Amino acid sequence: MAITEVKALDFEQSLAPLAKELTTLEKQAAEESSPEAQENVEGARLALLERLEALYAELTPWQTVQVARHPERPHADDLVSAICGEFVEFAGDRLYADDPAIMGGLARLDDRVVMVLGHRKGHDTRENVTRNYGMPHPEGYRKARRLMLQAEKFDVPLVCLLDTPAAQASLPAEERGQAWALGDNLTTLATLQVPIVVAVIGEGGSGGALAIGVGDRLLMFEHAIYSVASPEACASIVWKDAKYAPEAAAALKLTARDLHRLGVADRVLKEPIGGAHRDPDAAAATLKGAITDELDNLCQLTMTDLLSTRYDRLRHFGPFMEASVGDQSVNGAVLPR
Amino acid sequence: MKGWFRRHALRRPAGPPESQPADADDLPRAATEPVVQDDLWERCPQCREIVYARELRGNLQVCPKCGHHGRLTAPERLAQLTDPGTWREFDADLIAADPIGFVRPGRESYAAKLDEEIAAHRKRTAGLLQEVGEQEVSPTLKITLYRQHGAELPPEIDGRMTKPGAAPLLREAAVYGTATIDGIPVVLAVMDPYFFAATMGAVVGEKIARAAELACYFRQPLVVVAASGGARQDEGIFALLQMAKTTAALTQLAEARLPYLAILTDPTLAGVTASFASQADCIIAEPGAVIGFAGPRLIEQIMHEKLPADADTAEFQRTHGMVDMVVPRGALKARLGRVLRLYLDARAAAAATAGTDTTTILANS
Repeated sequence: MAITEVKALDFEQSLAPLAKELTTLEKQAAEESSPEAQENVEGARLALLERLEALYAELTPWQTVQVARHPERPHADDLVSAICGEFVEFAGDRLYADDPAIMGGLARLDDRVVMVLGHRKGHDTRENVTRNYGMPHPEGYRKARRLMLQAEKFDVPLVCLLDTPAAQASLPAEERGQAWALGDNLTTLATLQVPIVVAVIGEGGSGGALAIGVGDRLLMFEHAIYSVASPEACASIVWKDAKYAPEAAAALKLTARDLHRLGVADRVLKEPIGGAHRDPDAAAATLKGAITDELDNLCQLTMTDLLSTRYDRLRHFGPFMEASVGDQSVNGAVLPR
Repeated sequence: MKGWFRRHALRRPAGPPESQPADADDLPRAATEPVVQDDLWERCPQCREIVYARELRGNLQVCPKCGHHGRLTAPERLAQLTDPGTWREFDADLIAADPIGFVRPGRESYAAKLDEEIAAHRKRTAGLLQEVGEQEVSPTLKITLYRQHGAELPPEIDGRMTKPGAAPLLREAAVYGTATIDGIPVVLAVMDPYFFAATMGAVVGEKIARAAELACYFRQPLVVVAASGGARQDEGIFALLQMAKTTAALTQLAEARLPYLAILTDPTLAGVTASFASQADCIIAEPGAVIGFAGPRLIEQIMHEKLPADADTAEFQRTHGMVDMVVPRGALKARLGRVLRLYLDARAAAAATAGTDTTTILANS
């Protein structure tokens, strides 16, 4: 995909003249097809890429949020079709309904069979309405749990792709026990007897993300975000006004870089210049390499080691102070300087 | 006389249907401060009747006219549920760090906000702390002491620790320790709905996890009195991850087949309901309590619709099969005792059949 074909974000407006120039040159080159015209195109392309790279190296947290939410960013279904040789989707929680906001099924990852779970956002408004913008209902979490248990039963690793703004806040979700469904998934994942690799590919929003996000390794795309609440929700809680979302985004330390520094994300996956949406195939290849790599390592562990390492990891989330121990890092987590 | 009524009528917590939002950062302070003085009247937020404050306290903050359940501070809750002189707090010295350097509005630090909360709690519970004695932060009981010395601590160590029955001086939204309820030894964790809206950060998560571990160590049931506005925003991702931490710790309790009872009080929302509070073997709710995930106020705000008055109440969750029973506060302790005895007798019978030692489980029950 050409770098100019995607919807430009607000903060990319300064690149508009360069992008326009590139488009014009490309048109010219198509008409003339002279080596000189080709050279001009290449020159303009490189100039634009350089500017994009510089811009993306210094994204503010709020700009990162916008990239993570870019409508053309590759979603879980795009990535699964790009990295899996085969994917058979399973539907339904066997209790109430099928939730289109969560996808799950068996897939081939090279010569491995894995169970894939992922939030499913839409590519356009119609799809987004069907998929509820990737915000699952309780039946989505229960479908996911059914498939987690199946992964354990058939001894296949679990791969979870996180991309949701949040859990659905609605009366039907409450009536069907959203909190109970979420809690059940956390309990199930804590002791599930297969390796679990989790990757935040876009938005890792709150409990809705965590419900399929507890595992052995956490990968994050470079411009993905992961937080306790969306910046808008955090702003309305703490600032009493959602318009302070940019301030909340900065305060929450929700970028991959920050979360890696805090010891939460194990690995940050480099995105193509200008974000995953500018070259989804390259992004998918990076993701595939990282997942395969992590699974190779995790599959070497004995089940006892796998589960005890996971337990220690979960049990020690979150630094605090213990006066009588006099140590801020009793649990090994890193405190920011 | 008139001004004095107005002043104090504002002080009781507003219960359902005016509930608190999920992840409420701080509840409206003026509306939630309990009155500590003896000689005042209060207006019930539900029936609007004027009630003698001392009578209200004697009735466990339940309105004698209409049965509305007001919120209890953690020390009040401990006084209600535990047998006198049996409560001993563990890990009183856990204090929140500022793991992400959160900057609040007006550049206020998380540490400053916590200090405010601690001071407010001290003021709120001054009367009770004077009555039963205040607890020091350190030395505090720890599971490591028992691991070193065995289940009976040497008197010279035990004597230095918190004296039994002392009310906790909160530095966080949860306390945990050991006590007997209706004669049954349990590990008990209690959240305080007034402290930082009982939001869950690393310390609350750690105390719940350690409570589960202590219950495993003593082979006693775990009882958790939950209340929470949700996750503590100031701890960012670490607040979210407490959900994974607490549920992971509880799997050990389940593995040991020890009973876990949760009492959901007003309000129990968001990350707390969606983690340890929903994972109990038996879930008891207090009448009228707001219980759920998003909570009615947030849903109304997001969906732009008026919800039925009972949405996300204890009774609503009972109807939808999410809680086992709704029990009025006055009957709660006795009911807990009954349920605990059944679980323990079932365990004892199973253990006897298997020919294993049951003495630790049956002690004092």
